[in-house]
Amino acid sequence: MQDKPTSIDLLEAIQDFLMKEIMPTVKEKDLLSFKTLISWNMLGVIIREIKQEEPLLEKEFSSLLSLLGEKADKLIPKLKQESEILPSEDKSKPNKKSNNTNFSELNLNEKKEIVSQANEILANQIRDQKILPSNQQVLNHVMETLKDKLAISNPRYSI
Amino acid sequence: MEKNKWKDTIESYLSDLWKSKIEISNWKELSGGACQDNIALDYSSTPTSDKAQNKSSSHSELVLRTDKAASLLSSLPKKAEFEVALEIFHTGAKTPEPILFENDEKIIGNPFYLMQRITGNANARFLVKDASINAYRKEGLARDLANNLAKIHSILPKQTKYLSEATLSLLGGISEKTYIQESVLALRKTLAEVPESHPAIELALNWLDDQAKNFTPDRMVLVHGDFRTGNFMVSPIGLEGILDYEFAHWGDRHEDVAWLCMRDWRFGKVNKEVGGFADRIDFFAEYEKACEIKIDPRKVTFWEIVGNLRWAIGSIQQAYRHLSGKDKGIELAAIGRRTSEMEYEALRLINAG
Repeated sequence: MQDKPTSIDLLEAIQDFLMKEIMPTVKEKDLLSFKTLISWNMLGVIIREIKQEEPLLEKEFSSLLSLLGEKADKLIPKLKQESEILPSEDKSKPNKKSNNTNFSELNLNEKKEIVSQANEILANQIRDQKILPSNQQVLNHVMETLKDKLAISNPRYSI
Repeated sequence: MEKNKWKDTIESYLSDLWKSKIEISNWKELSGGACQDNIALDYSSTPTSDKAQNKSSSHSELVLRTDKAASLLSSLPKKAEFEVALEIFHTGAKTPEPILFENDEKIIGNPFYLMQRITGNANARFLVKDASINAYRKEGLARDLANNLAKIHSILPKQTKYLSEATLSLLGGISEKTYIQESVLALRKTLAEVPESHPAIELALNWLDDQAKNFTPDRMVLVHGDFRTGNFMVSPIGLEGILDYEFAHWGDRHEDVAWLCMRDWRFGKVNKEVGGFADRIDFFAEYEKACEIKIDPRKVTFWEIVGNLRWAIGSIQQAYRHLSGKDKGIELAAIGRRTSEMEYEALRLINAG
């Protein structure tokens, strides 16, 4: 456990510094003030990401799970097995636990890895099966996921 | 070669070429694009022999343009870009006069060309918001851009005067029938090269394949390829010139119109759908007036979807350019986080149609 200020407090302090102290001094220089603004903006992205990344990953995975079923389901035990030294006994048995619970027990990096793999499966499936945006279930998932990304990367993007 | 030696090198290069004593009095790097170096230079010339030819006597204020180490894969090499600029200049379109092209990499490390330096400001926020051009933005900008775009579109395959065989082959296929499928295929190839999956883009690309037959171009024309706010110079007097032909290719005229209308180039003025400064209906009307060819709004929307996907994939490439370390910078890095905006816009447009 780190001492205060939290990472978010620190990032906000840098944001303040950029806006209140740097910005006025580079006002006349187009490129520098543009880059300063981008930097300020990206700090905002990081702050929102720290706050919301984990719940959004869980939401995205649960949606991917209902789309992909077993294909997404399989991703979790696979990763667990790799991290265990002894071969898992219940390899062939169906997992009784709900996969949402399993997923939420993973650490942040594992969650990212699994969502990335599930996205790869979905992308391949869309391409191979020539799925069109008229497929409401897929479209809804994709749009919803994009909205959640936008909430972090650019909350001012009006939808 | 080190960039700080370029000035001396260019001075002696031009002195030899023009058989004159060339003195460069001003040398300034312009912020330009992320893919190339643009340098502003002023020179004066004193003939050193009878044979002296003052080739560029009409302009003593020039821009030197050359590629940076890593540029976007799909962009034209400088030689082709120079020839395209020449072809466009001779239609009478407002664009800086191309002066000379030098292929020899030994001189400054990359091929380069010189062109007339025009006045004005290409900065997007200036164009969309600055009060000094309020009147022109309202009265003349859409008309002048539509006029000039129509001139670029008057260039047709097999009727060019300044394009070499090599350049012609870089401008792509000229078949109307296969054009859209080939464009989608090119996007799929680029997407396959990045180590990241994008279900939204895949979904939209399938839609393009499915719809291709309904949007076959009537006629292939020279397309600017990056006709947007930021790539034309404007002053309170008016449009000073169109810039940046590195993405030129044979295509559908609606492509350029749609690219200019893309949400990302409106710079905060979302309701001014043409580049953040005009309404579609007015721009289409001006274009039709200029060349008597009607703009089909349905085709514009189709190409706007293509445009958003191109720019979505382009932004992923920019992110990986940053990550590769070849060309780092906060601008490139930040662009990667904007991909979802273009993905969302593409699907929104598909869904609305």
